[in-house]
Amino acid sequence: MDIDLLFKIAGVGILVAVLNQVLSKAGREDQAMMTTLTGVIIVLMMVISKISELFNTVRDTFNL
Amino acid sequence: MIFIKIIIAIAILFITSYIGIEMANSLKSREEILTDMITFLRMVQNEMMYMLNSLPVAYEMSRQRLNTQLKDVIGAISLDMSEYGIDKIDMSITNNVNSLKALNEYDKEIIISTLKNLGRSDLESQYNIIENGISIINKQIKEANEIKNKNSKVYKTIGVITGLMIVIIFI
Repeated sequence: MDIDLLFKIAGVGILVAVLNQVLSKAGREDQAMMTTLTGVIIVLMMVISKISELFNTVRDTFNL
Repeated sequence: MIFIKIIIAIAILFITSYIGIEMANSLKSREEILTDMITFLRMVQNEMMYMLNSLPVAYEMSRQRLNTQLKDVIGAISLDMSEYGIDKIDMSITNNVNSLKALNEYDKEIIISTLKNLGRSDLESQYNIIENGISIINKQIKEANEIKNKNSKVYKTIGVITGLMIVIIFI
């Protein structure tokens, strides 16, 4: 298991949370929501290869 | 290899933070230039009303007290005024005021309109033109101050966080 990936996801999560708070406090709720969505998309893109591996493993294990 | 990564990470962080800080400073510049403009108009008013100086002399005397980019702009206008006369400096006023990048379009319009109208009527009318310009610019300063207080911290924070994001994702 690649532990760097976990740290990257944690880092992105923390930064998105901070940015969300800063933008919300500045009265820019729309931009805060966009930032959160962008963070989620970035994390999904980072893990998509792992998800694909998971599906392949499940398929191989159960001979689907 | 790790040393190079650290240097690149620091460089990216530095660049994005610098961009954020510059954007925040441009908001501060707008307020400073508008405040300087009020100082300038008050001094021109005093020069005209009490010293009975002509407009080019009033401009030249008043601009010495300015601290921002406005000083050079007024200097250029004053020079053109001495060379071409008051009637032919509309283009010079427009071009020089438009060079003030920190101001928005409405700020520039007010300043251009006020400067163009000076020197074309009697003393009392010019006094009123200056008073009118000052009152509008005061409202713009209030607005600029609110925008600065709201946004300058946001821009600085976004600059730093964007840098950190890029470093985390790519490095």
